[in-house]
Amino acid sequence: MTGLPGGVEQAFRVAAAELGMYGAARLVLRELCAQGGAPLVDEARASLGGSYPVLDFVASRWAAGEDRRPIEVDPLLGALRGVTRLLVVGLEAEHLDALAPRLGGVEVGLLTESMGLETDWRRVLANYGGTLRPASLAELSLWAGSRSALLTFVYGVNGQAVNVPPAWLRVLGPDVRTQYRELIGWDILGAPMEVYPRWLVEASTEGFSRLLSSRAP
Amino acid sequence: MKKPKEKDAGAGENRGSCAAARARAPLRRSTDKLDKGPRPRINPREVGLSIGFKSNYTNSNPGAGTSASPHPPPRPSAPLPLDEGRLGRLLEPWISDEDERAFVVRCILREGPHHHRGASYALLALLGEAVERLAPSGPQDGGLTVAVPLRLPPHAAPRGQEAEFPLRMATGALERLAPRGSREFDALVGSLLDGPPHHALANAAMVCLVDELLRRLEARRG
Repeated sequence: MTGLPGGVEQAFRVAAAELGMYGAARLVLRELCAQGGAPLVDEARASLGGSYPVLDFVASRWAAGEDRRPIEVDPLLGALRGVTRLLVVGLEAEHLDALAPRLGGVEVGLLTESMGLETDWRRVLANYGGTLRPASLAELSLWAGSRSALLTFVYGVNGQAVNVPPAWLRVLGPDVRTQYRELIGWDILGAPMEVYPRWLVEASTEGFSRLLSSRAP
Repeated sequence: MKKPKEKDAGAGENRGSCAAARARAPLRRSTDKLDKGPRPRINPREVGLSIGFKSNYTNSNPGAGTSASPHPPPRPSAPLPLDEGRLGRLLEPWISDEDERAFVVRCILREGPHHHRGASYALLALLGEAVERLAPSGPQDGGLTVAVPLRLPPHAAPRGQEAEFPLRMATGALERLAPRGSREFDALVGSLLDGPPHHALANAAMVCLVDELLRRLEARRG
């Protein structure tokens, strides 16, 4: 356990606060892989995986190259057909980077509720050049409508259970469910995590109007 | 007596495994307080990963991540024979867009209390069957309808059609009960569309089907 650079966990947390757990995991592992190859990735997984389950998952797929498939946006765009307003709950920069440029004509909001990390939302939003607008929990109704959609990131599907950002459960009250045409889960992992999914919360697949994968089969 | 006990024990174990996993996973580590103090500001997008932070962190708990099976969500004991496709087909004359239809079907069959979903489905499906047994009354004449509003607070409501559900309630049949434009007529409309959306939409769909049923009966009578 000596090969890991000092401060790697803190660096991961800073990155995760502004890129999301998945994007930060890929960034950290890419850097570690460049420094020490697969053994350092394995060491990072052994050292940090228990505390950061998404990093653990990404590291487990790293060696096999399974995590390098491109993000598939088309099924999601199909689900958003006719939608004029989209509110995103959760933060995964790689996925938003792929999605945002293809949402012409759709007003997009990002719920500024963090997952327990210190997120500088101004900086996060600045990356999208005004394409994404900040939204608070108090503004849920302003984004609602019969052509509105809610989207969250799903970190693996396990039977009827999924793991989602905690804010999703605060958003998805019974009233809100009927104020949005679509309640979309976008699965970014494609399989359940192997360690206990702390940072995230469990929800039911039945709570979504659509559950889509972000990876090509 | 033995079987249920075994079943209960199994359920308890299942709950226990999750609780045990939580117990093994520390809620906060002492090093978490590092986050509260000032820390260098970096933009991960600009500089990539900066690994040069000083940190006191050592992984003192490598076994903290333990596997745990998520619990299945609670499910009603009596499953309902809800056929979303069937309800969607019934609503097609009133909602032509497939995605909008799916929204209304979800609100009626997947939202609200369990017994409401079953009751609404039973009534709508049976009404639909009654309608289908009668020959169409001819092309829809675009009779008068009223919007089913989304339950939005006033400051969020005025946005035209997006503040309404995509199903509009036909009101022709209600004229049999009170003259259009009267307070009684308006009160009937209000009663049907008041309440939670799953209820209002089921009412609206039922009135649409009843309206069509009456048209077909009258056409049959000649």
